[in-house]
Amino acid sequence: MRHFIDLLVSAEALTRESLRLLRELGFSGVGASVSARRFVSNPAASLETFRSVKAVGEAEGVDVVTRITVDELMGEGPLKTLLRKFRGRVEVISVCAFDRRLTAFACRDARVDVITLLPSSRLLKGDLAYIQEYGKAVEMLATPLQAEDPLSSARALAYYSGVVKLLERKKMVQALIFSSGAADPSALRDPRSMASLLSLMGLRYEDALDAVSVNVARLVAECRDKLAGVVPVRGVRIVGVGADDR
Amino acid sequence: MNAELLESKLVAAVMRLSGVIGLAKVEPAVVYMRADKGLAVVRVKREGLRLFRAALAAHKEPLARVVKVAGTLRKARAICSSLYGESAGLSEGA
Repeated sequence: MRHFIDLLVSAEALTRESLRLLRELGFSGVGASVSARRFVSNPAASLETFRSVKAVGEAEGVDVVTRITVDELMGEGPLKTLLRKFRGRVEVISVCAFDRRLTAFACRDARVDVITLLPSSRLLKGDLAYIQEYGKAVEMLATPLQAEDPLSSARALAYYSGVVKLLERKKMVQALIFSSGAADPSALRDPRSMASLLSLMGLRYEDALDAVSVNVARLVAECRDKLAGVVPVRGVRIVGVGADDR
Repeated sequence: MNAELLESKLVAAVMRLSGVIGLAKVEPAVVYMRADKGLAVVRVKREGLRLFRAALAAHKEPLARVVKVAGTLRKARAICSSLYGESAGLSEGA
């Protein structure tokens, strides 16, 4: 049985009702996201928000994944500071690919887990190589496709179709994740409908289902292992501690 | 919301995403509705199911949530009954 996870929903939108709605829609997990600026301005309040959402999620039977999203332009310096200070406090850190500089940095820094693509983003060959090497995920969102203006949603659809083709050509479909990007509960959709939308972009339906379930679950498990110290450095996994021979 | 209004909204959603060609593949029709329960049975062509779901996902407002997909109206009725613990009252010929 598949376990679906919507990795990007605004933490403010995650009330008891919306968590119940997510469960009814068929999700077993959700990424509670706080924007980087908000997190940096008041880390204690954001961590408290995460704690309360996790507690409510546990009561409702939804696994809550804590996440910081860099959703506005940020210089390398502040981003490095953010990563150094808070990498160990949240499970997932993602960067929206706004401009070349930020995208290139996010791809080559191992502390960033997810590269979120918006219709204006550009991924180059080198970026893809880093994404593959570090086991990062490439995230596409449903919200640009739900735009009021048909032309902008058509542009988003065309752009994401191109990304899907590129990832298929590079054999990186397992790195693709598809999230709602919902800022309020009205933007939440059921996972099979999301997968149907993704399959319109040229992806096989099974791969599209993986993009809202298996691929996300794998990323979250890896991030949690890193946080728990099971993977102290890249390529090393502690499978057990041996008995003392003396 | 009545059945005609829901159907026109579903048609508009499919039209917006995939145009007339897509609509020809889906041909959505509301065959049963219980407005008081917020429940409807929508008939679509089998080959247009994914397109229909994609249209629902790409629509700005949440129009409808797919609870279950069934191959026959009889099965759809059984699902409705199980959801609300009562006979949904669908006619066999609908």
